[in-house]
Parts: sequence; structure tokens; C-alpha cells
Amino acid sequence: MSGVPSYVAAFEALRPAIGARLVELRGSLDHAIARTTPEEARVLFDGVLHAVATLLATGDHDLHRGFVHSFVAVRATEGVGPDHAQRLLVAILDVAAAEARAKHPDDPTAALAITHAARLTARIINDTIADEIGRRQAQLAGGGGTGARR
Amino acid sequence: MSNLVVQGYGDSHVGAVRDTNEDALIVDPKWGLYAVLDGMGGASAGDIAATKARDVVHEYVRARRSTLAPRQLLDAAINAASAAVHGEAQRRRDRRGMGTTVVACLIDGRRATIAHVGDSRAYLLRDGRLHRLTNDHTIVAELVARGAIAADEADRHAYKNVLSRNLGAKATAAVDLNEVELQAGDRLLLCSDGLYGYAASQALHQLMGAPDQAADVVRDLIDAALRGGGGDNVTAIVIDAGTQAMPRATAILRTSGAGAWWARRDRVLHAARAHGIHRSPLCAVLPPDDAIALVAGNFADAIYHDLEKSASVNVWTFAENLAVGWLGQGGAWAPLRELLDGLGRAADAVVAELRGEDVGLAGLIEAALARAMVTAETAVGGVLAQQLRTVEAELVRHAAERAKRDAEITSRFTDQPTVPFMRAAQPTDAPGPEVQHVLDGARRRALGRPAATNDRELFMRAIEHAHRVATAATDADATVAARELFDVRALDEAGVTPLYDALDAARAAHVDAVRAVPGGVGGKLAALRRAAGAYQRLSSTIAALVVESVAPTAEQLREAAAATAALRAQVTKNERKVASLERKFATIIDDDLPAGMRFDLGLDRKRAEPPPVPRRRPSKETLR
Repeated sequence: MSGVPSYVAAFEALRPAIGARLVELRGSLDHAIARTTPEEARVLFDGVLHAVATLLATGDHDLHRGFVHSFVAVRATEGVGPDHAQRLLVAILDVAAAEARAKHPDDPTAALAITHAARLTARIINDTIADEIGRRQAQLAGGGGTGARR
Repeated sequence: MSNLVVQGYGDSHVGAVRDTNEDALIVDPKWGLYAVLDGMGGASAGDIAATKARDVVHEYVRARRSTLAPRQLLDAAINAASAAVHGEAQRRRDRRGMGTTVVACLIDGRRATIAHVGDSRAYLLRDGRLHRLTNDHTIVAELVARGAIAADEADRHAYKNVLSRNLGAKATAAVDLNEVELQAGDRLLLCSDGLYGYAASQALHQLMGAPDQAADVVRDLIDAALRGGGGDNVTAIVIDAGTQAMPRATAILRTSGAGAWWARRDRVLHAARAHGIHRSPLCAVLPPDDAIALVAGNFADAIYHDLEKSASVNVWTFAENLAVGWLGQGGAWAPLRELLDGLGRAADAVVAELRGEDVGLAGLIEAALARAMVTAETAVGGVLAQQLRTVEAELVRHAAERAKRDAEITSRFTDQPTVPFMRAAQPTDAPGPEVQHVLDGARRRALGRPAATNDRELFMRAIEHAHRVATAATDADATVAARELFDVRALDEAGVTPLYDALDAARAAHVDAVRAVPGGVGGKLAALRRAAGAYQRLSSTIAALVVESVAPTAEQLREAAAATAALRAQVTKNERKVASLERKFATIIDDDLPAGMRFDLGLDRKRAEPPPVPRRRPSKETLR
């Protein structure tokens, strides 16, 4: 027994199908992604799915937190707010969970694991936003300066 | 290609505020005609306009369905309705100004033709995405389309409800038409502004996406608008194209799942108490029982309704309200986070209990609960992000105000330094009449004196500029005057030296002239200070300009010096290497010579006595 949960292998096997479905549905996930080519969209989705696969395989929340922070930061450079980035990630994982349910109707573990990953992802973004609010409020209390983080 | 099975259902509600319903609708599957009309005008005229237009459109379509193509048919029917309403309004004074909107859908096989006038809307749900098919005919929408106002201003605009087109204002109406090729699984929504104006777009999307019958969706949509305030009449028609079987798991959840959850509602509240929900800072003002009933009860109810409808709009609303209420009054994220976790754990406890009875059902509810918690996080995320934007806007406003204050403090500076170490210009007191008189006289006298330099023109320009600086109310003029004097001068001795010579000669003549002007001692001293100061300022500013001009050259010189130093270091290194090789070479040659012919390089002294056996001649490789 390797001790690795069965949904890890199930998710890994599902990744190509999930990726294809995401590319197909990209227009309903995000307006910006709707304008990208299938290849460009695939790169984005592959990155997210890879991070989720790593989370499922390792259970390493810190590693996943790093990925989510980077994702939100990159989207911010495109003018996308953290809440929109959060909805995009949740939508991607919703599609993944739906695909897992469709392919394994009798074994909900993979879909459930993906949904838990979605919740963790949404929570990490909420923590990040709350941290940012705290920093900004500290700056305001300190005179609204443009100084470094407190 | 086979035709789709189309099923439509519509309903209308007076709303929570108004007494009369001025909306009307057509649901006629036989002719494939569906329409929503929203009447306007006082004294029940809106009701009459909508009803009249509805009857005309309906009758027109039924009479000419077989003779006109759908686009022409809808266009003609709506124009006929407009003429009828307009005519009615003209006949009766109390009905003047009445009118109505209309959004109509005519389905012919797979093709749906959408026609609309006014702000009633059509939406299409396809592949889980809700598309709006119509653009409102309102003044504000047209302003947005022309770029006169931003899209986010539209909702707050005073004229957001003022229509730019309607049926009845004129005998004819400009009808917008478009067509949609329907696919199996498509769902159309026709609605009045009482629906989309009071139900959140998120709720519209969620409810339209629910795998329910059209009639259930219409009921839920109207409920959502009423929950949102119901400030207007609400009318909705949902048209399903094709048959979409509800997934088995969804059907189980909607029946057994919702029932099982509801039967355990008290258990949820008990588990919530066990997890200390009532001790949360969010419940601080409530007695424990009320806190549990309000927070955990609403949470359990929201999940029940979402299980029943296979949607997540209720959990979304619950979490959003919780977050807005708490964060809006300055609450921190951590207690809200803890509360959400506590509610999640309470729900998990109920699922664990259910697992002992029905593993399959428990699994389905567990998955639905997990999704509900994702929804709650996302709803809270939206509120947090909004708060972040508000705080950031506040921060920017504060920074801008501070910058403005700083600018006011430094507003006495009228110029910015253009050369790094040249101070910013500052105002000086304008000379009084007496000093001005002395300075004017001194200028005339100085210009008339012989120039103690070869360049008389430059001498005179220096006097003119110095006079300008001496009589100016700000020393910004010194910078301008210095630049004019410096002009495009070359930075060689012949370029700069004559300028300084001219300045020197002009200063001497000018100061002498001040002394020579008749007048009081006080005025003459002040004039003298101003004239001397003007020349000093001109000289120092010109010096700064010289430095500014040579800056690029100085940079090149620095780079050249660095390159030279690097080359020197390389040469030194190479020279050392050559010396080392020469020594090595000489030693090898020396070793090969007979003892009496060896050079004395001073190297042998360091070596021990040579071995008695002759050394082998080195190969060419070694020599090289």
C-alpha cells in the first residue's frame, strides 16, 4: 500500500479530459480567457490543474498557498481583482469536479477532493484579501503614506 | 435536423410595493409566441397600454403567421401595437403619454427570433453561461453606448429608468431584432425590469442554471425579485429548448437529500451550539439561543432551500449578508472565518450521523455541503474585495489630500530646479519706487559706459539681463536670464571666457553707475545690493549650466577612465605573464648549455646542485 489516496490517481487520469472541457467552456469561465486562443487557455488551465494535482498528492497547503498568491498577483497585473481571480479558480475547479462526477458516478471521492481543494483555494484568497485590508488600514492609520508595509 | 421540443412557462406578480400590475405577457406554445410587456403611464394607463399592445401583437401573429417570415412578422406586429396604443392615447386625454415596452420571442423550428423595444430583456442560458440578448432602450444605455458616461455610472444615473424608445409614444416603433439558432439544453428568459432590477444577476444566473422545470424556475425567479425588494411588477417567461433529463444524483438530493437535511435541522443547531457559534463575536449582542437560531438556523435553512432547488443562491445570500453586516461595521475577518468554519463543522457532524443510515445519501449531501462552503467563501470573498477597494480608494484620497496640502505649503516656490544642485526659484520683494528709480538710472548710465571687454554686445546684454534680475519680483528670472546669456555657447575657452569677461565688465560698470545715480543713501544701498546680487546669481547659474552641459561628456570621460583602468590592469597582468614565461624559457635554455656557457640569471642560486645525470632535452611542446 502506498498510502496515497485513490483520488490522486483518478484526478491525474482525468486531467486531459478536464483540460479539454475547460478549453471548451473557457468563454463561460472568464471574459479575458474567452478571448484567448485554445493553446493559450490550455497553458493557463494546465498550470491550475498541475497545482491542484500537487495539492491532492502532497496535501501541502503552504505550497498551494504560494501558487494561489502567484495566480492572484499575475491576474492583478491584468487588472483582475482578487475576487474575480477567486471566482475563476473556483469555476475551474467546479468544471473539474463536474467532470470527475461524470466520469466516476459511483465514486464521489475525486469530485469531493476537488471541491475541498476549491474551498481551500477560496479561503486562501480571502485570507490574502483580509491581510491586504489590514495593511492598507494600518497605512491609513499611519497617515495614509506611501511607505513600506507595516 | 429535427425540431426541438420547446416548453415555456410565464408568470407575473404585482410586486411588494405597487397596487396594480401594469405588466402583461403572452405564452402561446401553439404559435411559438412568447412576450413580456411592461406598461407605463398614470391612472392605470400603463395597464391599458400593455394589455392593448399584448392583444394586438398576439392577434397580428396569429393572423399572419403563415404569410410573413418571423422577423417581418414581429416587426409588423409590434408596429401595429404601437399604432394602436398611440391611437388610444391620442383619443383620450387621461391616457396621454401611456406606452409600453415589449420583448417578444417567436420560435420557428430551431430558430428563435427576438424583438424588443424598451428595457424589458431577453437572456439565453447556454452551456451554463447566461447571455443577454437585448440592449436596453434607455437614455442612460445610449449614453453608455456613446461613451458619454461609464458603464458603472449607469446604475446610479438619475435617468436610468427613462426610456429612449417605447410602444405608443409614436405610431411607429423602431424595433430591434435578432435571431438565435437554438440548441438542445438552451433556456431563454424574457422578463420585465421588475425582475432584473431587484434580483441579483448572480441569483438570475444560478436559478436559470438549476435543472428545474420552467415553471419552477419562473417561481424561483419571481421569489428572488420579491426578496430583493419587489419594488416593481415582476414578470418572467422561461422557455426550455429540448428535454434535459435531471441527473439522478440531483433528483435524489432534491427529494431525499433536502428532506433528510430538514429532518436534522435541530441537530445542526445542536452541533452549532457545541461548536460555540453563539460565542462568536458576530453574535455578541444576541442571547445564545437567539444567536444559534439566527445564524445556524439561517445557515441550515439556506442549505435546505439550495438542496431543494439544486442551486446555491441561498447560501450565497446568507454568507454575503453575514459578511456585509459584520465587515461593514468594521469587524475583522478572523471571527467571520472562525464562524464559517464552525458552521461547516456543525454540518459535517450531521452528515457523519446520516452516514450511519444511508451512506449514498450522506455522500451526496456531503458533496453538496462542500460546494455550499465554497459558495460561502466566494460570497465573502466578493465582500472582502469590495472592502479592499474601498480602503484603497480611501488611502488614495488621503494621499491626494496630503499631496495637496504639501503643495499648498510649498506653493511659494514658483519654479523647480532644472539642474540638480540649483535651488528652486523663490520670490523676492519687488523693489520700491526709490530703488527702482536708482536701478533704472544705473542701467541707462551703465549702458552708456565704455565696455572693458572686446565684446560690447555681450557687455550690453549682460547689463540688460542683470537689470532684469535685479528688478524682478522672483529669482526665477535669473535662471531664464542666465540661459539666454549662455545661449548655445561652446564649452571651450573662446566660448565661456568672453561671457565671464563681459559679466565682469558689466558688473563693474553697473555698480559704478549705481553709485553715480543721484539719490538717497538708503535707496542707493538697496539698489547696490540688488545689482550685485543679480550678477552673483547670474554667475552661479551660468556655472551650473556649464556643469549641466558637460555632464554627458563627464559621463563619457568616467566610462573611458574605467575602460582605461581595466585595460591597464590587463596589460599589467599580461606583462607579468610574459616575464614569467621569459624566466622559464631562459632557465630551460640555460640548463641545456654546457656548464661554462650558462647565463647567470640569479636563478641558479636558489636551486640545489644539479643532478649528476644529464637531463633529457625538452620536447617542442614543453618549449612552446
